[in-house]
Amino acid sequence: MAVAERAAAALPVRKERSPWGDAFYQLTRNRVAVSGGIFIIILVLLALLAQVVAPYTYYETHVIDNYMRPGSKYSLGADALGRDVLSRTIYGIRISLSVAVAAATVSLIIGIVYGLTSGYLGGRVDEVMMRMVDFLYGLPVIIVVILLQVYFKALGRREAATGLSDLLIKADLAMGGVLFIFIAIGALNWIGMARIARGQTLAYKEKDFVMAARAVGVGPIGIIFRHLLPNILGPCVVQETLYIPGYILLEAFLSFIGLGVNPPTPSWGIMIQEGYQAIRSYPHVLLGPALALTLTVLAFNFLGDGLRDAFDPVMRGT
Amino acid sequence: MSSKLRWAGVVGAIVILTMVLAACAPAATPTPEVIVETVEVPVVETVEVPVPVGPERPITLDISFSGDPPTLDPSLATDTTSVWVDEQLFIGLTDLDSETMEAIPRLATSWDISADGTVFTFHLRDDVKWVHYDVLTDTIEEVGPVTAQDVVYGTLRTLDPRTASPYAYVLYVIKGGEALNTADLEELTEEELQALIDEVGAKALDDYTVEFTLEYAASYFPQIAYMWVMRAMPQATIEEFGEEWTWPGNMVSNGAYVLTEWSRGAMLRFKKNPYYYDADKAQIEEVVAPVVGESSTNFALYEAGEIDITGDPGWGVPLPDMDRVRADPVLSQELTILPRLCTYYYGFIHTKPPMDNVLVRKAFAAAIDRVALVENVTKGGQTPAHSFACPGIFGNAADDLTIGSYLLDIEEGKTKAQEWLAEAGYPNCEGLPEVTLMHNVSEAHALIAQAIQEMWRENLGCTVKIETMEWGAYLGMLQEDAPDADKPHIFRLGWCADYPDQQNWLGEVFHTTKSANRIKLGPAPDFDALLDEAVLEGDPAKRVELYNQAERLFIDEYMGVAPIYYYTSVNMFKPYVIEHPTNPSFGWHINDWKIDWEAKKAARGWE
Amino acid sequence: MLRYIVRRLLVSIPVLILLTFAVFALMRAIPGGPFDFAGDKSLPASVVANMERKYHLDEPLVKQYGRYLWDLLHLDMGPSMRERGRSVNDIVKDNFPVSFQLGVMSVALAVMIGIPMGIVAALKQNTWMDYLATFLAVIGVAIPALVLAPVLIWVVGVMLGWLPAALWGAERPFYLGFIPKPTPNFFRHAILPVVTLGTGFSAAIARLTRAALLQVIREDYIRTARAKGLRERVVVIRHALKNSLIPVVTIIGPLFAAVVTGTFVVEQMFAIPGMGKYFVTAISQRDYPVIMGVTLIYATLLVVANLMVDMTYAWLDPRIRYE
Repeated sequence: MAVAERAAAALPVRKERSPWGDAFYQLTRNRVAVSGGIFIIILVLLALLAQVVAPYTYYETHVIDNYMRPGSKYSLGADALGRDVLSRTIYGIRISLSVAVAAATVSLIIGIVYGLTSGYLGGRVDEVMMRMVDFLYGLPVIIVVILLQVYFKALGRREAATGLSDLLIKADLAMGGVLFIFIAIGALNWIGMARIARGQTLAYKEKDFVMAARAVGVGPIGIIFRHLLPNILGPCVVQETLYIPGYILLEAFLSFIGLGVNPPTPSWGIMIQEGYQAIRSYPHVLLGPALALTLTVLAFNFLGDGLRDAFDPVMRGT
Repeated sequence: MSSKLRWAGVVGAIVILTMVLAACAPAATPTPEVIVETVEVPVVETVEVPVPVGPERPITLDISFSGDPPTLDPSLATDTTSVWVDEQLFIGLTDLDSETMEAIPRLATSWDISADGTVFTFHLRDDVKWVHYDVLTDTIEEVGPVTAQDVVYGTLRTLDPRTASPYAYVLYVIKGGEALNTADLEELTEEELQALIDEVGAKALDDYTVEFTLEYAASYFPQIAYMWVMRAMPQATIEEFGEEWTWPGNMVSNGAYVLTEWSRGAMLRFKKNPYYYDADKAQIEEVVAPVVGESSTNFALYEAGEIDITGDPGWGVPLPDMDRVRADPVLSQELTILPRLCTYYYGFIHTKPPMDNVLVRKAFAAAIDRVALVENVTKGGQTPAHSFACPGIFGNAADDLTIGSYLLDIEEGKTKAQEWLAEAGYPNCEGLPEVTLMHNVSEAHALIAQAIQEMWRENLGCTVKIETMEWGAYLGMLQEDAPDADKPHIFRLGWCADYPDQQNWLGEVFHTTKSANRIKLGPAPDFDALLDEAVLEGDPAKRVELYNQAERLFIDEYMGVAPIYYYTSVNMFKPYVIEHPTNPSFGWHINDWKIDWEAKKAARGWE
Repeated sequence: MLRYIVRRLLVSIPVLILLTFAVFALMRAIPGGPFDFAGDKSLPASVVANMERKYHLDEPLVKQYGRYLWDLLHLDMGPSMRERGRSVNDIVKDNFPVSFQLGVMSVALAVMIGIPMGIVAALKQNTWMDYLATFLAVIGVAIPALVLAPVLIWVVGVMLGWLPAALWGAERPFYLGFIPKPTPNFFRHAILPVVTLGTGFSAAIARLTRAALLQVIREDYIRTARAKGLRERVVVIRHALKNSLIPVVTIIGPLFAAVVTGTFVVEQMFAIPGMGKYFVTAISQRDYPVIMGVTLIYATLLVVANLMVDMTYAWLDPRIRYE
């Protein structure tokens, strides 16, 4: 008896955890992912506190100081118009993050709605909806994004537009030209998300707890919102996080070809576009935004990988 | 295993099918450049130049193009790259003196003007030949003499509405030119069209004499005669090949060089024309010019020693590198800043408040620190502008500093600007409706705009919003008939000389009722009257006086636009390019250039 | 099997046509036309009217679209409205092979580097080799070509002078229309651009390979193979790799199409005369036939690439069948 009791006392009792808690625990063990997450939190804080943290505003030019190298006056140096690179990089967080998050949200919402509906309804409807997705999958996204951007920019001056477009145009101008970019990006990238959402829906649809809910008399709305959605949300969000670096790079590309934000709004894309020409004579102009871009993309990659590993039941075993 | 093989076979078949399909996109007609002989030099920096004649490497100049010339047809050329090439390939009736910009003989040895100034008779050289380059044999052969009929054909062709030449309007000074060019092809019969053509005042009196009759006595006509749209063109070739007559192998030309290769978007090559009348004076035998679209890459190629010059027809020195070049002991010696006949300006929409108030316009124009802009932002040695036409344009007022003097000194400008703004009812910019500045997408314009935006903020207290628009939509939006609601208050544009006379500048751009350009500014009858008088005036001194008054009105009375700076072109030449005569207009004649060939070979490590 | 392929190709034809319609509509919705301006100058209205008439732009839109489709049926993609005298077919014939060369070499490099790197990282998980490989992979993904290209041009091309700074060294004419002569000159010019393009892709491939391989290695049948006493190399290559390649192949498909039709940035920076620039410049110049043609080619390549990807699935995983 004493042996058994002592043996029982020696065994550690495993804490009870929900699946979410389990995943979170997994995540925190992943040092790389955690560092990514911390970096992103720091970015968000910097973005919110930009006015306090940044030594200069993002638009003030000191033309005399053009291209000044990093030093006491400007910690990361000044750009072609004598603007502080550090400050612009910090303000640039806002643009890059908002493009990324907004595009991700738009694409997530559209994708989940589409995929969930298609997967849930099944049958003919599902087939038709998936055919459409296949069609869109074959679209050269870059071209359409460029077309949309050109269209929006050309549209931007029609003040005689009707209610909604007028509102959009004003909002876009207020945000320095960002709104249309992430509408264009988000509106096209939902396709991959839709496929994933549908796949997940199909997987969960046949599960026991769903059948049980149906047996109890829960209507389709209830099934979708209370049972399916919470379960598929996880993997979908994770997947979307992995797309975010792509959005940030896409914004940089659009800025490079001149279809990005309006000056003097600082986005890293625009800063890189302004700076790459100076790489031989004044490389410091590129340093701030390039480093910021690289680190942010890295952070989202690490975090996304970590999230995916954390949610993956196979990985959890190791 | 066999099923695996089958798979591999299927996949492989698909791959091959794709590649074949992709490669065999059918062409409309076989283009001669495909048959370019493989002996030709690779598209590359180590120029292993092929040697059809003799064992020596031919004397070669390596340059670059900033973009692929959209066309080489003189009737259709508008882009500087196209015009540059056409300068080498087709001889103009006249040439322009690089100092005075006056017309000097080229194809025409002399010209007579009638008493009333409306008839110009040009006497042509008789030793200019049409030549044809055969791609397969790599030889140049003579085809025939260049005659007056060719000049007439070229002129008529440009004016013919069927050619759809973008530059035909510069020839409207010729009698019947406008009527022909604006004719509605839908309405006319063949005979009626032919009748219009016959009405045009361009006649060949004999094989070497051309007579032009003008709508009015335009004394600047010899400068228009320099332009490529009026050059002799090979009728038989054009009729035979249609739109493809400019491909190497089809083309027949008469200039100092012939086009031997044109790989679209990639490479152009030229070879000396041995039948050119001054061929023995031309040292450079071949010109190799890849198309390099990116200015920093272009400069990298120059620094790596793979091209010999930076500048037209390629990109100039990139802005960020200007400081380094100026500071570098070697590079600064190679730097040459040349004037360019262009002006950069900010225009106003005169019908859109608050820009309908001349005081507001003057305030905004005066509050720009042009000197600081040129020194710190554009860095290309540009000259701050206070009048519209730049130096070099006949009738310009650039050295009359009494016109718009406040535009050149920021202290004076700032004070006056604030006074004007207050007088207009907006002291310290209070109450001024929101002003928008717009420019087309370009990094350079963006930099300038942002700098000026700051200047307005600092000197006037006004916050101006900047918007960008893509070029196509931008021009469309600025048109006269486009709604004002869509337009900004201030817009950026530049104007470059078609021919160096004020008629092409103030006259053709800003005449409020007659200008052919679609971007129009507000009504100004006294200004128009001066321009009308100056066009018809025969005495050059009087014309200068009239245009001077017009500039004064344009700036001090109306502030039609806010001129910012007169362009320059920033060039660099390798030390072994010892003679490189240039011209602020278009196109430099490579046949006048000289290289220290031994030095270049040594620098490149050849032979 | 063949029937499946043919059916897939046939089904994609209406899809492609629908695509041309979408692009056509969107392009026309954008204000401005190809003839409104020449360089920096806007053109007189009469001239614009003449040119529009010449290219049938004054006809009703439906008629223009119909005309386009009719020409397309004859495999004629129409004339370029900005490059007078050149047809879209000419443009494709001249520029596509160069993009193709650059693309194939980049993808090849990416695969050759990426897959082994992923394998090493997976097999030596959590060792320094894994961390190094993962680190390199993620850096490669994060640094845009926009930054890498000028760095390489200036450092390697100008300052060190080891390689040509720019341009493409392929001599024309090409064999079969697209294969260049394998001269040393060609390879010297190709190294920098291919490395620029390839590093980003190799990084993506490495990460995917690693992730997939990690999953597959834990499967039971791998343990069985090991238990059977097979050598590690055989286990990895014969059994694990094939299955882990599926996600990799998934992205190689669209990747190939994207790369081959020319990435704008790399071609622009290195002055490579490929098709990439047309994607952007044709839109801003409103050269309608060129945009439609270029889009069509890109979409067709995507279709073919996706098809090949599906074929490769079947090869990799015998459980997948198509009829």
